[in-house]
Amino acid sequence: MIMLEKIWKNLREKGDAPAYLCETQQLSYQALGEWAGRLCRNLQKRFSPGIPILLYGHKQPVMAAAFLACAFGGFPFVPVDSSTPKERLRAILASARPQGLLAAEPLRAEKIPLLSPEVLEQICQGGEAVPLPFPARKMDELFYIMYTSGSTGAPKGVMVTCENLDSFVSWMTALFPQKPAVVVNQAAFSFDLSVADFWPALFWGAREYTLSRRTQRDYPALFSQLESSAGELMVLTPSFASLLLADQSFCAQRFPMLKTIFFCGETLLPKTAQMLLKRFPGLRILNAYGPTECTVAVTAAEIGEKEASAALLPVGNPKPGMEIRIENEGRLAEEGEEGEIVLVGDSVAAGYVGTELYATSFGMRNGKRSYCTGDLGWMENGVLYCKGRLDSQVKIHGYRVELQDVEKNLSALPSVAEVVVVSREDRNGRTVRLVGFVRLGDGQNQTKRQLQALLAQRLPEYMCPEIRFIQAFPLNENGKYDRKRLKEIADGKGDFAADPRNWE
Amino acid sequence: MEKEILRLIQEIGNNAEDISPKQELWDTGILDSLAFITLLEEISFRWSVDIQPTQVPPERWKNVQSIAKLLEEKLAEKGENNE
Repeated sequence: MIMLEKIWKNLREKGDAPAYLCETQQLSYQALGEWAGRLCRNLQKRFSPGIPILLYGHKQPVMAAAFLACAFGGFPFVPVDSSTPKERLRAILASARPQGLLAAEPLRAEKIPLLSPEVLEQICQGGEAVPLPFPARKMDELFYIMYTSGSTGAPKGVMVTCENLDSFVSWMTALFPQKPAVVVNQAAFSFDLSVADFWPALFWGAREYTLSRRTQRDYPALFSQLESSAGELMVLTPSFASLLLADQSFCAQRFPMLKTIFFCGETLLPKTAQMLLKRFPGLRILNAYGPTECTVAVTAAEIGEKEASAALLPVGNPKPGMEIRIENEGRLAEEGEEGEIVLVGDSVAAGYVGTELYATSFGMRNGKRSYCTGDLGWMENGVLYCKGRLDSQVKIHGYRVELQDVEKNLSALPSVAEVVVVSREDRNGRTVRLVGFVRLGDGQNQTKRQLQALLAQRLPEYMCPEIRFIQAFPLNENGKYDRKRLKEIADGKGDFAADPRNWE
Repeated sequence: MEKEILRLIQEIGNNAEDISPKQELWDTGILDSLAFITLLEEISFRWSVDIQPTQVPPERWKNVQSIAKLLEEKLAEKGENNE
């Protein structure tokens, strides 16, 4: 793997240069290499290569060491953020069937060998220095498995290979003629947007500057850390940029080092791009597109003043090795004609863990792996535009959520008889929340709060909807749930809400 | 003011219909960062006050009561500056 060889070299040669930072904890390239080396040796003694290891935690430096230890040791890893509720974690464990669990935060697990935070710390920091082995990965080996929302109600694991990641990193880093010295990370490691900062940063020999969950909830701390980061590249979701823009001091005067923002994960609105260009004259905005199934991103567009004035921003040209097909009822669409975005080439992942369930979206086109994204789009002069979804998937904070996933988990609660989940948008068209309309079973009298608490054990916070009780669901002409009507009710529009027969 | 903020949070918060003025808003998930942007936008829209979140310690956003007090202060500051 070209990427790992480069990182291997950086870890040996960069010495005291800062490699990884979270809050007050920092590791130099030398220290990171040593931690990872010891852990890698230890894992090789305990575990067999090729079988997944689950990494549980947030952004502690030991997580960075664990990624490298797994990568160099030949273990596919499954990153799971510590904000993940227990039930969800259990579902991931059942699906990924890891041979071991590395916990950077306290966790209890049965039947799976677990290295606790204390043990991990001891291994990483204790004893002699052990050099990381020179990477000897085969391109078709699994590098990581990333779990994402699935329409069956269970999370699905996307299997990303060494080839997939190598191809992504070589493309992404080539977008930067000048290497950034500091890369700012926003996303949790269980969200593949983080792959676009962690691996390129180490590839460049730059400093990966992470923003913890706690920091992200505290504006003064967030801004002061961003300021001291001297970040040159930020890898963000558009929602996070809106959050930063809510404060006037997010501007070039306070953050003079910021040169580029790489966006991915959800639609970048023209308004956000315009505000950024106003506050940071000359800022380079990269608007990237790609599902987790195609390794973070496969297209990127430069958004300057001219592009930002359009109603819909382009997402750009495909990376080398990828072909974009717009398909409409099985045939290729004409130039400018809308259809489903189908991605073909070396970024397409090896499928889902336990594939047969979802076999339909992965496939082959002209002898190459393909993935039908379910996104609606068109091509114009070789540039891709992405318009929305063909199904009921939404993005909240860049996180992908299948509405059916939420519905299935809500219906699984014993007191719930019927449920429909819709998304709610703010006046800018951003999806801000989910609303779950619930009819309780006869004789059930659980409160919204009780349902909410039960659901929070099963789903991550961003997937938990606001609950509204309903007596009877509105139906459309086809006798199906009238989701459009429910959406209007969720938005506070329409007269349905005024009809007392429908409400408790 | 407290009543108005209460109504606003009920409107934009998650599962916020039955909240009380002293109820914690963040750990309960009533406010998250997206709802917070909406809160700032609505305050700016309804009271013409642009609050710079970096100038405000996070604990001042902890409940309806504290937000109401914050907004009252900001409105008073604004009045002084206009005189």
